[in-house]
Amino acid sequence: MINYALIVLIFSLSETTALHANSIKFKNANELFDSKNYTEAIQNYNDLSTNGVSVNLLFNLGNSYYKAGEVGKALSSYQKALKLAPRNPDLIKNFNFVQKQVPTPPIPITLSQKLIRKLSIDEWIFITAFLSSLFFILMGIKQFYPSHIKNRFWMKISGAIAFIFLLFSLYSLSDYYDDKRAFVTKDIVVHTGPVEQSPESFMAKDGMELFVLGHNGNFINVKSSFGTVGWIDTDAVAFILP
Amino acid sequence: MVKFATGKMIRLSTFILTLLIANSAYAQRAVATLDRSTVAVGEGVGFSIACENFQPSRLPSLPSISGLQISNSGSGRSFQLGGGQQISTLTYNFLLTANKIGTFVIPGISIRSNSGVFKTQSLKLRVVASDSSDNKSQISDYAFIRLIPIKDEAYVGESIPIEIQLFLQNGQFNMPELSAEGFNLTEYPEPRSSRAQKGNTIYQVRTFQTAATPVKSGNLKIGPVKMDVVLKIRQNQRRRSPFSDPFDGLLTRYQDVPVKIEAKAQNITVKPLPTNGRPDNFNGAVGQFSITAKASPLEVNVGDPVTINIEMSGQGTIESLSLPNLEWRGFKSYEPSVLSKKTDPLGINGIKVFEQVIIPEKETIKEVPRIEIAYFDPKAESYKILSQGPFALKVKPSTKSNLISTTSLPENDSSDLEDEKLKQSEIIWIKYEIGPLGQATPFVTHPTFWLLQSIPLLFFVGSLIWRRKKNALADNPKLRRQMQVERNTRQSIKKLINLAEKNKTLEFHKELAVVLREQIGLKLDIPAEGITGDSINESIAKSNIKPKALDKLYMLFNNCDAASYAASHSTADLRKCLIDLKEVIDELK
Repeated sequence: MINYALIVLIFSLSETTALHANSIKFKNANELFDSKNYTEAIQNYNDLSTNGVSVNLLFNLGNSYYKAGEVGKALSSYQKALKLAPRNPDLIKNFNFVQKQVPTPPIPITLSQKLIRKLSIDEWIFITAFLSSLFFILMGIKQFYPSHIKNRFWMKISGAIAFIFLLFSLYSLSDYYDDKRAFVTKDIVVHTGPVEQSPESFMAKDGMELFVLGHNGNFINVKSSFGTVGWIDTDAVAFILP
Repeated sequence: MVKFATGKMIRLSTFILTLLIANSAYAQRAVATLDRSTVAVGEGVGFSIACENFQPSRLPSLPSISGLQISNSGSGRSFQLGGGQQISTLTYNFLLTANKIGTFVIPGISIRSNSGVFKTQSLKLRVVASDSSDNKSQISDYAFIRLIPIKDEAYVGESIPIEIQLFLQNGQFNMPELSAEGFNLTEYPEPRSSRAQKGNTIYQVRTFQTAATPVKSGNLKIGPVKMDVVLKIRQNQRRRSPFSDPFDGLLTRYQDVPVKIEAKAQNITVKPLPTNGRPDNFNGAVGQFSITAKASPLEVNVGDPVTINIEMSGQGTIESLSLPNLEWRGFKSYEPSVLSKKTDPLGINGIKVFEQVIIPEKETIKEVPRIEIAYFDPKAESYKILSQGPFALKVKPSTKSNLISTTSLPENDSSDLEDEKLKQSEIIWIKYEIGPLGQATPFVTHPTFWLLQSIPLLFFVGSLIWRRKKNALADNPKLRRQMQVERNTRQSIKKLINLAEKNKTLEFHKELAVVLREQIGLKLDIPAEGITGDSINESIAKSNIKPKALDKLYMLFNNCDAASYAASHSTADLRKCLIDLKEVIDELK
């Protein structure tokens, strides 16, 4: 028993120490940002993100990239944060603001994607988990007290709702892990083939959003919002998966 | 029946007639082709005239051309059906042999037929000096290669068609390796095949084509070109004699001889593009081009997109064509979409279509400005400017916000509107609270989630099993009774042990009688009430109980009956009764 308590104590202490260390690193990075040392702030935020990410960390990282003139990476950071907190008004405002600096329009999204992105992946999962648990509990109670629950209509409705939310959650999950969108992180030539010597297809500007069609070695097959297709170096794009 | 057959005949005749009419409607033309456009002195080249969908009234003949020896080499007929087309071709073949260097023009040949006169196009045949190196080695009897640039002088950026001709008696070959420093080469299309006679040897000729575009000026070299070839040489060729094996030749054997053949490099003089008269908007296009452009719609609101479609076609490096900067004042413009289409295998001729979206930002705009594209024409040796427009444009005041929607954003209309109202001029500042830091993996990937989620599911599964079991019991009274009896027996035995210990004989035997009745009632499937040792004699005798156990059963019943009159047994007797009871129960089971 004493050993168990000791383990819990050591674990709690190490957790507290790690949290404290993270807070200090975050504070240092914020100070660097405030003193306009954006490149160093980016480095600090990125170091911290190896321990885990939070909406505020990604938000600050996006701000730092923007201030450092890296529009594509800023948009990528904001999009990562939006995946975790899709209704965060500050995030939306900053993303909107930076997006307007990009001369090309973003890749359009479908109505279903708009609907899915009203909630974060965890919110969809929690709602589905709650509804399905409720459904199973009601079904269980019905086995014990069949005479008390005679109206099966509501049972079917609750089951159907839980199923619909399950589908939404699966869709949201696939949307969360979707790596089909990327932001260009520097002005670069997009080639017509997956080699450096291929002729130019179009010129991609920093911050331009691209739709990813496939991969070949160190090159990605991309499509712009205008429908132009080409191959771009992997190092010149930032993906949006947190 | 006759009526039916007549109708069928009419339909068939109509069909045949339609086919004949359709056949006569197919295009009739005469086409002249040369196997190769460049040959060496003394080397034969095939020339053919194809008469498509018509029959000449007399044999076509070639005019006499000084320096060219022309001989007839027969004719052939072919028929093609497919792709909605039907082509009947009559081909007349000739062999042309040049005896001097130069470029010969084979004029268009008029061919008379019943349906009119058809004329072929004129063709050029370039005759070069016979490469002396061809005869240097023994290998060249079997295979040699020739590198032919179509021109030896060009401008930077001008495409030069290159031919690589492989002459091979018999064997296999790899793709040619052409050295071309200072040139961009296009990919080889499928090589053309023909035959050529040189001396007494007939060669299979494969003609590879590519286009070389010089990227710098100066005296450049194209080549050498090298090719790996595996020659198939007859082993008995060298040993043939009148005294050799009479079956020699029937069982011919070939030897594979891998060799590397090479053609020497050719000089190309590449001139720089002139600086005099170079337009400001020239961006490197070299060739001969034409342009068409249109803008639509031409009546829009402020903020509405106008698409400009620009189609450039012609001869030159189509891939290198790019649009000039169309960032006009008063318009917001986006990256153009580009579509290229090559119309010849070498990619020298083609079409490039640009689609540029522009957005008028003011209602004072009256036109889409003129579009001008400059290029250098190497034939005319001067710069030329292609232009289209201006296009009259009617711009009405906007009825909505003219900002481009950011469609990839999560929708938050109220915050967006608020944002626009405030005219945000700077990003919202950083946050000073880190917030919960964690791995950005959805909760669904954590084992804890599945552990928690399994609880209601297990509850449901458990309740379902319970319900099934209960229903099974309700539908089976015998099973229900058996379970009831087993439960009662367990309780009664505990009670009997207790009574035996306390030596309560009367209560012991009353309880014993109850247990026995229930067990026998279950065994014989009769009500337990009113069962006595006498009443079950007949029924129990029919059951397959061992006689020893049966004796004990009767004895226990008798003991119970006797105890009601004279209950005087010791604890040891009662314990023995219990042992007997257990034996009887086991036997009854």
